[in-house]
Amino acid sequence: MKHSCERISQLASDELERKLSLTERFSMGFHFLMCGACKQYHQNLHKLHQALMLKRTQSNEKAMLPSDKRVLIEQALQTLPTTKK
Amino acid sequence: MSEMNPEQWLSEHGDVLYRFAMQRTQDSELAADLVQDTLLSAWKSKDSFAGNSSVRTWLIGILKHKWIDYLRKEIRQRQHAELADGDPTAWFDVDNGKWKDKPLQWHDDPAALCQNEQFMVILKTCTEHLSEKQRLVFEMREFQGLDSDEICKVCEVTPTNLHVLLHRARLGLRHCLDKNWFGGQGS
Repeated sequence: MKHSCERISQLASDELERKLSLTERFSMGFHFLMCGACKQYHQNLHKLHQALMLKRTQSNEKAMLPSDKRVLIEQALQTLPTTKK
Repeated sequence: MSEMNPEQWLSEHGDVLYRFAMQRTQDSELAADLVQDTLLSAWKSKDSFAGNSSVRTWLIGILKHKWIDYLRKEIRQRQHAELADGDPTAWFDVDNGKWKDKPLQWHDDPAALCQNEQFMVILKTCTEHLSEKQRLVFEMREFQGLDSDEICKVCEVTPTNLHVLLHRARLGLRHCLDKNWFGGQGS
């Protein structure tokens, strides 16, 4: 069965969201044999997905609550009626 | 009971909570606000702390709720600004179902891309050209790292709907990045 590139590009995106069925994986793989453009798109999506995943973890690994913010929060907490002095 | 003291929570868990919030928001003002809200409401509901998890886990649980509440509010505010979804047929030939312009090869590897600030700026700009709904779900998914289930709950869409939105967002971004980033360099 012939699949349009639009359908295959949807599967390429879905693969990042859910487990594809065997049939879906097969039709995607089969389509890639004949269509370099979709194969390329599939690779690009994975690349972008991975890059952003790395970005999320790396950029905040060492983030610390800034001291000015910490002071403001401390002040807010002191207004709590039942907090002991 | 010494553990049940919000100022002590702040000094012991403040950085962890902030880091967690930063990973999701990428916005230091908002992250600090969420930490504050978390500690305040943790204190108000301190009786609900069952003691069968650590204080840190309990606080992170509250922070997660605060974050979801924030997103829900944002979405409600934006709903009036919602635009029509992008038309996916724009990218494909109606006659043979093939790409109108073929995706380019992206040479850079993910590790290099994620460190490239210029690329991140272009990507951000490209997301701004998506429809409001597409941009929102793409950002939640790829910038903030929520999974599909969480986004469905927050946005009140079905998984199928969400997957179509993400698919369209990715098609749009591919085109924009090909034009403004990958097409211009390397080759």
